[in-house]
Amino acid sequence: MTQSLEKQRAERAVELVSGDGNSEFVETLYTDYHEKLLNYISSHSIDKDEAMDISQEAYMRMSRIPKPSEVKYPQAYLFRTALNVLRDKYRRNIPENSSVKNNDEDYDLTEVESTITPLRDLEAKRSLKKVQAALKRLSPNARNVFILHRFENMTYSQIATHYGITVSGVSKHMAKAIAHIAAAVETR
Amino acid sequence: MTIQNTMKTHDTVQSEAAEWFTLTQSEEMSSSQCRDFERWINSDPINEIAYGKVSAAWLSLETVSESSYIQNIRKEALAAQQTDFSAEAKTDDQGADQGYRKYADLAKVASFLIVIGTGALLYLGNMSAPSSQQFETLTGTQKTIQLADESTIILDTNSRIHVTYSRDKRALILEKGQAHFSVAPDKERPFVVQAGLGEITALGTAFDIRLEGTTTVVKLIEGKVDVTSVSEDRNTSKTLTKTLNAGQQLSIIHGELSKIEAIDFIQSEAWKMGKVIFRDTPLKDAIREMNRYTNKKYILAGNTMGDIPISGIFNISNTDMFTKSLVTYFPLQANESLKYQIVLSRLNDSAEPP
Repeated sequence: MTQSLEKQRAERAVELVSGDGNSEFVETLYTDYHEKLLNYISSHSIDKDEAMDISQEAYMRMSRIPKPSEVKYPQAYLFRTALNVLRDKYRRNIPENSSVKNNDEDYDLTEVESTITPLRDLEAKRSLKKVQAALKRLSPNARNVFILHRFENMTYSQIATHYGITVSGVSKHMAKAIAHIAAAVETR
Repeated sequence: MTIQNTMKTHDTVQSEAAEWFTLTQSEEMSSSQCRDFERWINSDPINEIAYGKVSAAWLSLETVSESSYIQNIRKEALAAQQTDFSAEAKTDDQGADQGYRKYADLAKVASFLIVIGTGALLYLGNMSAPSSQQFETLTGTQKTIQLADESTIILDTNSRIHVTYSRDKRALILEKGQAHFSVAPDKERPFVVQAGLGEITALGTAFDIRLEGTTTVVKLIEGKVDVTSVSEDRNTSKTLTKTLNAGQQLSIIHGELSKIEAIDFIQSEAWKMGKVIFRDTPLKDAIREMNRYTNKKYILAGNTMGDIPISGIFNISNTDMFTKSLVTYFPLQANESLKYQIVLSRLNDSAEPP
């Protein structure tokens, strides 16, 4: 029952997007990747309804890719696009002047409100201390590369130019930092 | 649903996932890299989960982006020079990159938390009167409970727990179901969970307990706990205790402590994300697991299909998908006309003799 409702909504999303001219591409995305995309979005502690909204927005953005026919294996792009949608949504949900902005070591996060699921909110609070500890333990190089990419939105090649190192060097630092931080966030 | 036989270690999967995530964040992925990524992520459910976790960690940093600590290291990162990089290039590999794979790392996290813990102690001094509370979940639901000392419990489906905090003890009783405990460090007040014929004592740690019939399973995610078996009448003094280290699990079966085994981390994290994972799980066991989450219980008619291995990731809130997958991939039919049961039976295959 819920299944068909979901399908209707997703089909409507495809229709909505098709005005942009890339309807075939989006339809293929939907047919081949919809379930995978929903699984992926849900892994960010997102509930079903919200995951559906996010997938719609991701299809919408994907439909604006200039040359879709050249993208033969779009799953990585689709996931990355969905992650950007999530990030944008997350940003809108963090109130300005929230208590996250405070001084040094201890964060008092009790007042941070989010419309996103309580579990994720809680997880974020709990992970915060760990993230900070993890960042401190990273080598300065890996940390700097990671910070520029994650918070200054710099591309790998921009970072490479900035520090005078190779793009593959940047990737190595990134992989190290991401593994380290993911492991730190994961342990409870 | 895919059938997978290979079992990779948690560490391998995690670092593979980090590498793939790094690649998917780069501005230019070649067509062959995209293809390899699709192969990797779709080849095994545990890859899919691991990638999701890395991605979720990445996203969760959004909440800290405005903190003063991050603001400061952003400035540092922008100000860092090329020379910093060439100078450090040699020592770089010895440091943090090895740590994340090992539990040694957890010790550092733990020591960091203890600093915070002492802060919390002062504040706890005020709460002297014991307070008792009960928390419960219905079938198909999960609940996260934040306790006064910042310990957290995640209650799985159809579970019930009693929490009594007093000055010198944090006493909990898991009456049924499954729960995850993330224990705030407090050396003065041990955190003691009674579950069936087991008693789990922790100081500051994270672990899961699952009650199933007369069996209690304890999985230690982080830190150290003592597991004690309690005799059935609770009066006999004869008890046994074993100490679990991070990444280990044991069961208490009829008051006996089992051998200590390694945890399957992916499995133990899955339920907290609202998922059930099967990897070559016999159908009868898979059904038992799904039945924990639904009021409409699966029943297997006949005994010929119980051992077929199934694999896949399912949402605990969507058992329809489980039914659909079973009837799609296996010679099974599902009769859903009964109110509280879904009867699975072998598809009548007319080609076979009766």
